[in-house]
Parts: sequence; C-alpha cells; structure tokens
Amino acid sequence: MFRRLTRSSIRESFDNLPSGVCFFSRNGMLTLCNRAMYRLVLLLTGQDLQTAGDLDGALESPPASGGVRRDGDSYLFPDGTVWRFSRNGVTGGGRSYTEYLAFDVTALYRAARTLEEKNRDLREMAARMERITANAVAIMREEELLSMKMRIHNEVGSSVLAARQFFLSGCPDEQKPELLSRWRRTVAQLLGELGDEDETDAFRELSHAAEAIGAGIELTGELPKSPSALRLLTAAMRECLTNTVRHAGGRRIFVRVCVRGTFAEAAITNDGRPPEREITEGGGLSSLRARIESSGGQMRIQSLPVFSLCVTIPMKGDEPIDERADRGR
Amino acid sequence: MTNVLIVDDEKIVRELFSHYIAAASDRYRLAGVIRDAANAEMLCMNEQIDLILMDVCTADCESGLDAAAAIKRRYPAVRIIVVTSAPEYRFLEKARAAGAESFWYKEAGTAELLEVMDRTMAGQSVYPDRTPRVQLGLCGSDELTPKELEVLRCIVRGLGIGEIAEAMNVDYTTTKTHLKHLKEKTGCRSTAELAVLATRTKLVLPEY
Repeated sequence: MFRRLTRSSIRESFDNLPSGVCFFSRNGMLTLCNRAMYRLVLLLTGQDLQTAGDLDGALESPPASGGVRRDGDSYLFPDGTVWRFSRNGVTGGGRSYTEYLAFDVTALYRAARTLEEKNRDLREMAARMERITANAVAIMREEELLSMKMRIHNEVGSSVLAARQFFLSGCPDEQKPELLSRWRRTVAQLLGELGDEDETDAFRELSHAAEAIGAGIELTGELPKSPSALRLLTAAMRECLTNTVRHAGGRRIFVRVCVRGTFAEAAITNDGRPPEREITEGGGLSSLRARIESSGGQMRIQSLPVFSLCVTIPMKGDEPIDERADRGR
Repeated sequence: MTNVLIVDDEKIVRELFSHYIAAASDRYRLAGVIRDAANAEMLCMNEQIDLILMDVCTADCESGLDAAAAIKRRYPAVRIIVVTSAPEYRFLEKARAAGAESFWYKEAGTAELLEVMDRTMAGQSVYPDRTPRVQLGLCGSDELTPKELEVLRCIVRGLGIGEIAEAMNVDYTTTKTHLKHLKEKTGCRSTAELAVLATRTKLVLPEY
C-alpha cells in the first residue's frame, strides 16, 4: 500500500539515522542536523552546534571538559563508542553546503587495536626468538664443554682405579708402560683444562693462519671495536689474502683502516701481480659483497692498474669483544 | 702419517682431540689447531693437511659446514670429519651435501672418534644412521615429518604463517595444518613455545 512521504516523515528518518549528519551553509551557519550528530556534538563540545567553525575546532582538539579523546582520525567518546568524522562539499537547489558525517566505528576500532596488539606481541616474540636463537649456540657450547669435562673426569677416575689396582694387587711389567702412559695423558688433559682460556679475536686468528702459510697482514689504523664490524672486515681481509696467494703470487696484504662516525672504512691492497683485466666477482667476493651489503655496508673493487678492495662497514652498537667472549665461554 | 687439522672454538675440545691424536701418534700427526672454520681453507693452501676434524658452530659464528664445502671444492683430497654435539636435524644432510666424508657426534667415546678417523682415512664414509632423538614436549623429534620440521625451522626464523607458506611453496591452509599437527604432537599451545622448544633442544639452528 502506498504511503505519502511528508516533510515530517523525511525529518523523522533523517533524525533516526544511526550516523550523524549535518549541513552548514556557505557562511558556516548550521542548516540541518540530525539527532545523532546533535548528541555527538553536545558530548564533544558541551554546547549546541552553531557554526562549522565550532565543529572544526572541536574536532581538531576536543575540549578536555567533554571527556572525548582523539586517537588519529578516531574520537573515543565517554560512553565507549568510537566515531569518525568526514567533511564534504555538496550542492542542492543551486546552493553550496558543507556536509559533516559521523560514523560509528567502534567495532572496527576495537578490531584494529586488537590486531595492533597482536602485531606488537608478534614483533616482541620475533625479537625474543632472535635472542633465544643467539643464546642457543652459547648454551650448546656450555653443554659441550661440560660433556668434555665429564669425559676428562671419567678418564681421571679410570686412571685412579687402575693405580689402586696396581698398589693393591701389583701390576705385570708389560702393563706398566700403559699405566704410565694413561697417567701422562690424564695429567696433560687436566693441565690443559686448568690452563688459561685462550683470548683471541677474528683478526688475531686470521693473522696466525696467515703466518702459518707464510703470508702476512700489514695493518695501518685501528680496528673497529664492534665485533660484527670486525668480523666483516676480517672476512674481507681473508678473501683478499687467499686471492693474493692463490691468484696474484703475492704474500702480503696491506690494510688501511679508519673509523668515520658509525662506519669503519678499509682499503685493502696487496704485493702480488696486478690483474691483467677487470676482475669478475666469483663465489668468494660475491658472497663477501652479500654479507657486507646485507649489514648495511658497501664494497667497491678496483681491478686496474692495481687491485684494491674498499669496504665501508657499519659499526653496530653491540657489546665489546671481551664481554662477548667472556659470556660465550 | 696422516696430518690432522682441528677446527673447534672450544679450548677444552681442542685439547681433548689433540690428546686423542697424540695417543695415536703411530698414524696421526697434529698439523694445526684453529678456532675459526673460515680460516681452515687458507691453512689447506700450504700445509699438508690430510684430515680435518671440523666443528659446525665455530668462533665468530662461522659455519664449519660452509667451510667444509669450500675446502672440498678446492681441495677434494682433504678428508673431513664433521664433529658436533648439536642434534640439528639438517646437519647430517648438509654435511653430506658439503662433501664431508664422515660425521661424528661429540657425545661418543674416545675409541669411536679414532675409529671414525681410521675408517675415514681407509676410504670409508662414516655417518650416523640418524640425528639423535630429542624430546620435543610430548613427542620425540623422530615423530615429526620432514614438512613439519621445515615449518618448525621457519617458525624459529620468525616467519609468520603467510611467509612460511611462501617459503615452502605451499598454500596457507596446508601451512596451518602442519602447524596444528606440530602443536598437537608437542603439546605446545603457541608458535612461540614451539620455537623456544626447537631452539632449546638445538633441533633447529637456522644460522648454521
């Protein structure tokens, strides 16, 4: 059955809209406002809506007295609901108006907050995982150490038992050298266990390896304190040294290091034959480049007239080498 | 005489292995002892190295498996025994792929290492049948399927379900099913718990 739409029925439906709607004339005076918008503005400003300027001001910084809190584009009302406002220019009957709309986004806002919290938890979890993974290797080393110590102590026990047997029941002459040798081994192991811990770093280890093959590293400048930067720089030196010995017939590399701000820069040359043509990066150099670039550093190779490798390596704020070494042992 | 290079970042392990070699001085000679696997290839350039006892997790986080692969590419005659105490499920497979002749878990006794060394130098390849079983919550590591182990590795790397699906080239639902099975088998309630368990037991050490 057809029912005629009257002005009041249109007004009533407009008032009953769940969203807030209002219109302002070109001079900013209120033309039309529905009940939802009226209620929201009253909560927001504590007074009746008069001009677009009042509403803009209240939306820009909600008065503290109203108890409405702004979170980005969302407005958190004291009744627990969350609203978003939008402003658009509209025309009707040849006139221009400014339309303000308010939408209830409570469910959406809560879902977004929950998602944000979950994402934060996941980020924290990922960071925790990274720490746990890093610690796992240190824990494994400690367990390995314990296992080796137990083995040495078992051998001590076994030697003590053999000696006890010797004193109680005697020992055939042919078994004496074996008993003596067992005690020599046990004592040597114990001395090794009780000896000083070896303190070295990647560079010193590389220098020793270089000496062992009759090669050497001549260093100018100070090595970076950051262990991660030192590791990468040492890897670069190792690559250059092996290439020098293997391909250029050289024996020494020359490393000039300087620290600039949070970066360590190094230029590496050698005493070998200069390359005959441009160097193509093989497995070693390209994997070195990947390591350096993934850490945020840079690597440049000059082939002619003489080979040089320049690296720029970020020095991360990780702990000094000594502390790291102490913890890992 | 076989010249042996020991690569291990733990002094006590290096000492112990040195003593084993000294105890078999009729056939083995200690050619060198280093902490960092990355330097092993360099020592092979000049030294007469016949056999390397190569730890997996060495100084400065250098991987003994990567070093073994590099050495075998350039010096195929050098024989390598990978030694580790970590029950990481991919170490055996990676050591084989690297070309290492043999593999030895450090928990075994003295005689076994010398035996593995002798057999390796006699041309045999000595590998354990399987990775040692570790208890993973309610189940043993040997009860997990290869796909579930792969999901576990991705979790430890901090990947989300979508990223795991992409990395394993399977769909999202399949990944969720693997994850569900992992939780059911282990009794873990969250992926974080799974990751902690996998790392603590050293079943998964992704950086090596």
